[in-house]
Amino acid sequence: MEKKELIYEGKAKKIYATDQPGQIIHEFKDDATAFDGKKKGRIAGKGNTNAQMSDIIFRYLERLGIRTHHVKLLCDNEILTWHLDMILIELTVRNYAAGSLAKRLGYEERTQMSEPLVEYYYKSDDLGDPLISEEHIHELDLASEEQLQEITEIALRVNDVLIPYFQARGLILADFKMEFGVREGQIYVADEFSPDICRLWDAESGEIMDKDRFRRDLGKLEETYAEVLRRVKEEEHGLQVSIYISPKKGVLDPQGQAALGALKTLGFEEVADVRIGKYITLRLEGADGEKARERVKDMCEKLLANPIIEDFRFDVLD
Amino acid sequence: MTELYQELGLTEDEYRDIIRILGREPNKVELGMYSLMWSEHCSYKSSKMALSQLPTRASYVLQGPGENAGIIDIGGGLAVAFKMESHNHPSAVEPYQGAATGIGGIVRDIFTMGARPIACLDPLRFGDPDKARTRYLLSGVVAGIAGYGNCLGIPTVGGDIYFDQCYDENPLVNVMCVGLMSKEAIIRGQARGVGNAVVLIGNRTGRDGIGGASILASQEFDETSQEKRPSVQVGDPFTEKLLIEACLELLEKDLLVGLQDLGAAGISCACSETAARGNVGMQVNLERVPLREEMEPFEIMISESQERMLAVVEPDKLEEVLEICKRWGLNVVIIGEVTEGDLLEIDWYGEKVAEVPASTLASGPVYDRPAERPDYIDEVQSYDMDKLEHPEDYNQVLLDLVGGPNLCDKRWVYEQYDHMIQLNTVVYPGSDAAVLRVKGTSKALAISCDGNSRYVYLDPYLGTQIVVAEAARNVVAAGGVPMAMTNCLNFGSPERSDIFWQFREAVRGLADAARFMEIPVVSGNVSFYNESYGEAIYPTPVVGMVGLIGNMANRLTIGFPEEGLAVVMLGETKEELGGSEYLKRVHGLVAGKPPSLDLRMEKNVQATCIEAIRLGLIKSAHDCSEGGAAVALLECCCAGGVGASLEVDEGASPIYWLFSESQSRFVVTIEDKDLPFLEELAVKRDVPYTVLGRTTGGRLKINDWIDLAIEDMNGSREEALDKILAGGTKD
Amino acid sequence: MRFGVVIFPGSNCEVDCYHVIDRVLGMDVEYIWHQDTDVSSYDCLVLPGGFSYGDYLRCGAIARFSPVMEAVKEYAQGGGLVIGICNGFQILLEAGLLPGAMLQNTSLHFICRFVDLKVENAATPWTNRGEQGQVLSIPINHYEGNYVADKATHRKLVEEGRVILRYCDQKGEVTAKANPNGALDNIAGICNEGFNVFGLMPHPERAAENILGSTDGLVIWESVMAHFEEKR
Repeated sequence: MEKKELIYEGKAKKIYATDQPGQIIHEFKDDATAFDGKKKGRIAGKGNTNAQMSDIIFRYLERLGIRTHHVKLLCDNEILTWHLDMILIELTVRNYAAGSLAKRLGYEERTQMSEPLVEYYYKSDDLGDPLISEEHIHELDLASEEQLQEITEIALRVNDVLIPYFQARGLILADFKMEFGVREGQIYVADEFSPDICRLWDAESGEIMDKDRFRRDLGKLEETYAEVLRRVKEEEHGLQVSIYISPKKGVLDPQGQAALGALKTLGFEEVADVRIGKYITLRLEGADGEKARERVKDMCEKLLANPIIEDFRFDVLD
Repeated sequence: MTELYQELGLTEDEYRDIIRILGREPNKVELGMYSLMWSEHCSYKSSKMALSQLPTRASYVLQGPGENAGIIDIGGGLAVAFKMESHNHPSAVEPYQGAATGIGGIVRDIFTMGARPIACLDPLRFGDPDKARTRYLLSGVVAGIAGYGNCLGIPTVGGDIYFDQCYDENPLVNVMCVGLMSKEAIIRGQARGVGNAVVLIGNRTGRDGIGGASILASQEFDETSQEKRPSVQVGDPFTEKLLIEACLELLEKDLLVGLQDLGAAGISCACSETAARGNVGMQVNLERVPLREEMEPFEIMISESQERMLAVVEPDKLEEVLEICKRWGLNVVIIGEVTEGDLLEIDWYGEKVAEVPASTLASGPVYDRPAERPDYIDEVQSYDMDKLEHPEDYNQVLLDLVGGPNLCDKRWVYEQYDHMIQLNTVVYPGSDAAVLRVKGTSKALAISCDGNSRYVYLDPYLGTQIVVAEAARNVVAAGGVPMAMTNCLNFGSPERSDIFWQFREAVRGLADAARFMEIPVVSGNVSFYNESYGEAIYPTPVVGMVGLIGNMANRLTIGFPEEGLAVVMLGETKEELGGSEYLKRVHGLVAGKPPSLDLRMEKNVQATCIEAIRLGLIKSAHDCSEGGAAVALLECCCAGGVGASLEVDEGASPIYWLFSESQSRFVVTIEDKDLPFLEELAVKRDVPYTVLGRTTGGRLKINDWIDLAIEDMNGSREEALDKILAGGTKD
Repeated sequence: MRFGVVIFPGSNCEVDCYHVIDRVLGMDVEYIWHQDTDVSSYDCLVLPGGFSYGDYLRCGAIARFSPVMEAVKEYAQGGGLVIGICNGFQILLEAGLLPGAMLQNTSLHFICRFVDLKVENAATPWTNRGEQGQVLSIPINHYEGNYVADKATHRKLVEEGRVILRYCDQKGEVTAKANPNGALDNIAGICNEGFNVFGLMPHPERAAENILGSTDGLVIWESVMAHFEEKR
């Protein structure tokens, strides 16, 4: 795998060709820009953060069957991806009003949308990525009817899976932007997934945890990006559930009896009784405390334990 | 890299060969692939030369060695596929899973040829039963075979089990599988047709069996990676059952060009062998292989994760193949395609990680190792039997023999195996051979596994011939005609000249006996390196014999069926105690020469028995083997619940007559009126023929040497294994 | 009479059941895939032995959620004839169509051998061709055949004559020695309240041909055929 010539340098990334046909490298920069390039700056470590967060999020999406251009993380700030034939539409999904939407339509910031709102923008640096309608898309021939429908569906599905994902990590996904491309006749999610292209608010404090801090000069840029990456990276996320299933009192436990006999033979005279059961662990994603307990109880009663011969109890750890 | 190849088990010469083949040094992945494919286990480099002398052909052999299993034509458009394999080393480490995955592997070898598996057999060898470790291994192995085989719905109908100190650290777990198919439906493990898809079906790939090659693992520090520890192979019989059904359905619908199971050396082996057999190349996108955990390319190439199959499919049949696999709930993914030329090209996310000529992987080096007759042979064979003082209470000796772990009743073992499922078993375990009916015909198959390693230790050439003779004899006693055999050759290290001499002589004996008896060897397996701390096991060649019973009504069991029948011995009892169970159990010795074997006499005795059975003259038959005539007669009484009163040559020495393990002998029962006909058949072939007495009552009486009640005989034999498992045999 | 034999992933005795019904009894029989939901056209359903879902978690615990089981439940509740053999019996227990549960054999070993069974109630659709007290020789083949139920359930089963088969010795004596797996009260087979659902651990399909050692299993098959004829 050899990095070859620079194909394109954007505001936040450099794109390189490789010696493998069909694959390119995205090198993430620490440079930050806003308001159509009018505001410029640097956020130390942002290149690493955004590359690594994209790696984690895209791999998560892939696991759920959503096709992305992501191949693998090459190093801290470089990602190998498939080279796509880009669809020149930037698609945003908004769960809450913020930024340009709030301004444009007079919403108060943070107004919740009645349902996720999808907007399309024409991907054109020259024209400043203007907001467009479906009719514009057809007129400009940016995508076919089917493609438009498919990218919208994908975006909404991504929203559906990422809302609980971030919620489990203490963040509200207010909105995000997606780009798409085509490869071998199939549509793939392109670009990145990082605090640069979405709005994340801390679930408890409401604090802004994304590029808006840069846009609005709220400070603590490096720390915030690092914190978001940290929450996303945490290995075992979600609720850990430990379930203990044991034979009911009074039910003969032949295995327990056999073990008891063997222990005594080995000289452990003090063992008076042995019951052998099962220990099952679950990891619940995007679940919350109380409801989780109810559902785990249901799982035990329906499947994991047989109430005629087994008792169960469980612990839910946050 | 230079020392890396040594740590992977390759010699300097082998490494240079690889460089010569590739025209460059191999990279990590290629080195891993060669080290495994050229290992003894996969390449048979030490045994190929010797094995080439085995007779493998006959008019009814449809497939000989070289594919996943041997196949013979049994007439009526039907064929039987069978093979034996070993899983010795994994079972010593984890007996349950080692034995379970052993069954998994051999069963896959059978249905990958297109046959539906109809039976398994398990010849097992364990160490000193007084040792706790032996009991642990015995329990684990039997439970593993039961756990896996029963779940698959394949009856385990036979096998054998012997105990000897030499197996203390190296238990042997050999497993044989037999399958039935229409002879038109044979599919081979061949890739063909440039552009055809290569499809992986079955379980996800993990680190199973990576073992020694784990040193190739990446040294890079990666804070998100888990510990890269190679794991013990764990079997999943449920998935294997689904694989059997899915693959047989795919074959029934004629959707596959080739089918191969993944066993030793996993994907490397399956891809290189199928490509080599079809004279084509293959290109594989390794990132498409479904994984259990994050793995590096070399790990994926050599992983031995279970329950995976490789199929070669024409593009227009792909959709249906995918649909059928998904309906059975199996992972199925297209991982590559067949290409022109002979290169096996492995790509990883578009990057080429290996490129080797497939045929060079599939056929490794061939060695002609030095062989030297060891000194112990002369020493042990020259033991003076006349020195021995024999006990006079022959009843006690007999009870002692059958109360020992080798000759006792094995119900404890076979009642853990489902030996009835598929409703084909018409002779259950406990007789000379298992008999399976072939539904829809009047035929039946008689199958037996044998391998007295004590004889082979004393004289590898003669001992192995006896193994073949005995296996054939057991099939004949059940009413069958021996047709073909498979084998598993278990030995110590071939790099030792004394062990390799044993091996070479054993194979020579196997070849000569097979040729003389006209029974081809259609499949087999070699397991070397069964030794620890410089101590090797007895050379243990095991044979699995398959015979055909033309008319199921002629099948026989060993038990005396009723009172009032004449008991006849075909064959001659000689004075020879070498290598006998009597010698070991009563005198603690393994010495002397194995019993003599005259192959012409053996063939004649078997032919006499076959003809007599076909004419409906024989009511029961049992061959004489370990423990001699006395044990054989005891087993006939116990199995049938009918005793016998016998008068034999008063002048004979009791110890020899009772306990010599002379070959080429049968004990049969027959109605008085048929005696003359049997005698005629015997005389015409120069077969010694002796009427011993008749069946009667509930006791076994032989002259004034033996007089035992059936309950007492059963008492000794039936308690033995339970006593062993409770903690030792010495009482 | 039309039989339907259900196949779950991992079942393995369905072929044997089919063979006996088709070849030995000469009746109509079809396989029913576990995802089918229409069982209305059959006169008797057979849940065969085997290792559905590998016996993972607990025997029958996962199979009972197969789509076909909803239909089987309705069919049974409507009085339809259902026989659950070995793993089939375990599935019926997990599904609640029969009371009680199964534990591992007390020997902690798989057991495959012929056993003797006493017919405790010959007045059921499944045993009417047998006689009260008759001894049947039929093989068992299982690792979990140790039937348990609480006192109240047990009492009800006995009082209502719903214990159909018990393990016994050759003479028909129900003894501890004759109990191969530790099952409560030597219970080998039971019925539901309507006597239309029968669960048993022994395999009657393995004792339907002389050549295999016993034809006592035919008592059960022929009984249900006779019952069906009578009802027609």
